Amino acid sequence: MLLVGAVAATEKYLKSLMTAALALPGIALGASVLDADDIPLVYKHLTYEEDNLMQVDADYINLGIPINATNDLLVALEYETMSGASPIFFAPGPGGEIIEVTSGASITDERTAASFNFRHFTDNGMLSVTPAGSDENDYESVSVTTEYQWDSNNKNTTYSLGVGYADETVSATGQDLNEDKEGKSLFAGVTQVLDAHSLLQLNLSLAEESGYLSDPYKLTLVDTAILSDNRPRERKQTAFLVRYIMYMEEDDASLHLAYRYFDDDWGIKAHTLETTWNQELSNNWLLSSSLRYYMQDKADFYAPFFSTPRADGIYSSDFRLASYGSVLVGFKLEKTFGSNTSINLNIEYYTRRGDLKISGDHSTDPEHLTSSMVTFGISHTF
Amino acid sequence: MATQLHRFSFKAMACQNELSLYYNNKKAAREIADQAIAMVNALEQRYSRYLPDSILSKINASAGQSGISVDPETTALLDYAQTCYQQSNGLFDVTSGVLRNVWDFKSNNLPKQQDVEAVQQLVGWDKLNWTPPRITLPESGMELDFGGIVKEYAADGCANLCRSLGIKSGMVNMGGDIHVIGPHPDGNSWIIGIQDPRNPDNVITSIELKQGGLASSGDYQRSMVIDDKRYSHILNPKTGWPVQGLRAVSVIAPHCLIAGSTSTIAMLKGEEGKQWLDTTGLSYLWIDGQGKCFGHQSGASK
Repeated sequence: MLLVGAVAATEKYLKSLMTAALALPGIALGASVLDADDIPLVYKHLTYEEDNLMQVDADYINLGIPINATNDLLVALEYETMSGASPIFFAPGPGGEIIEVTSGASITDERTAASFNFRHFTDNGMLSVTPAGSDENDYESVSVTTEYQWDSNNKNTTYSLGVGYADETVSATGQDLNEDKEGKSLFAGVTQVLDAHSLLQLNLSLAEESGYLSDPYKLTLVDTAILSDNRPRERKQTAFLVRYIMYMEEDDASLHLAYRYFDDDWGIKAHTLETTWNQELSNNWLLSSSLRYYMQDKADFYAPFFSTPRADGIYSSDFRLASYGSVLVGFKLEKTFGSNTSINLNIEYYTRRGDLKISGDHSTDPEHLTSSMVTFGISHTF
Repeated sequence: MATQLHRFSFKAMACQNELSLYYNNKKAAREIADQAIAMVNALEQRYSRYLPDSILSKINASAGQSGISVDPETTALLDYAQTCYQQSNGLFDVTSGVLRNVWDFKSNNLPKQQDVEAVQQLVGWDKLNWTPPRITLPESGMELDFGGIVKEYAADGCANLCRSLGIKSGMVNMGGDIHVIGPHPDGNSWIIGIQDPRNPDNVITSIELKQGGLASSGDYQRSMVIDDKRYSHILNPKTGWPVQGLRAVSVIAPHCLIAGSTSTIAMLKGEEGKQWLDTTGLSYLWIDGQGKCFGHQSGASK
């Protein structure tokens, strides 16, 4: 009985003092509004190369703008150029093997995107509204996301709730196509501090897409006819994420473990397992290494080609809907100068193959793909 | 340049203070220290009872009138003071500073009981009206004193500011109120000596701390001995007389502010403070009236 009383007293005394102390501006921690004197600016350049076929170059700028003591704005701008060829359909070869048919001409496109994240901070929460838009030759998108985050339990628990809406227009170079699609999403998350050195994050998201969800550049071979990619006009998705982060003070390191499950009503079920180790080195260097494994089951209406027509007329031979597995290995090196400046270099290698899928059937994946991505970034707070 | 320890001493809040910061650039460390010192000076400007323009002086000057409204930071400090008052059953009371008008520890004379009783009329958090953001001290002569709160809060604020500016290893020492920003770069704890209350030049023991707050309260800081009995500045607001029982208490808590209030409350509880400290869930060290020293490390702190 004495023990129970002592524990209750402990919780009450410390809890009430902690709550009162955390209301003080010098003690409160966590995400906070940008300081009026601080304008953080990040520039990144990315180069992506896929089997010497496809190349993407992208530039990113992120800028933080303080507004007042409770509001700020985070702006993200992106400019991307793509060129290359990607497979458009598959056909059976003379020996029964699958032959890839690639567009002869090189496709080029450019993409411009911008997002504006307005954040409003309250005593124990943050409301953010993010309108965004992007434009390509054959694609336009406008979207808005609203999220509310709040802390409880002495800031040991953070909850978040969000909704998103996107309106997109799809066209295709050289085709008379002008179609719409619409996306709605809902997400909820909780982050729990487990002890002084670890935290656990759980996220659930639901999304629904409707409209033209096919890829206008993909074709499919059905018996002897070449047809356009034709997917259902509805898609419902569910994703669940668990992330565990552990800080190892003794070693100046942190370990991140994450598992994500994805499921949609097209029949795709996917699992992602990721681990990242961040190691602080001397002289303000930081090395991160990460390993990610992914595998998915194919969509119900996917095949490299179809020898007989399907009753519903729904077909896709887009290899992204096949059964496959992939491995991504990444390294990031970052150096910090003083308290305001850092530079980083991030290198990632990606391999995708049918036989990297460790369970279930993967014979339908004709695509073996490797790619590399190099990102250089510099950030400075003015 | 390799990470090196840079020390910056400064006077503020009637104390000699020191920032010990590990950083790879002396000039940048100096700039961080300057910002932290500026923060302490700003807090002193706001909460010193010696500066007539401070918020605290304005609150005190309003005693006997209809009260004044205060800013959010002062609101949070008053809420904290109220929480301490409630959690200590009225022993930790920021209105008790006015007792110094009758207790002169340099005089070596005890005050007359009738004078103590007269000043007692002005002591009591329950006598004032705190309806955030408005505070009313109904009796002329009532005073608030944030001694025991603001210096500890300043140590926390300095440490958090240094952390936000990139300091990972370092310590803030505000005249014995300590907040460790993070362990030495080799991962070792900071070792903090605890004074012997009867011989302040001697260290009676030491405490190892990797992160967080440490504060001490003792009967030796301002006191007088009359007929072999020690009368310290730790005054019980309910009697107006110094408490007896413990010579010194040190407490480790996530924030120096909480360590400071907890060590003061333990001292105010006298002999009972020993058992009470056990119920707080914090690590502590006490030295009792017989000079016995006892330390307890809670499971929550490393």
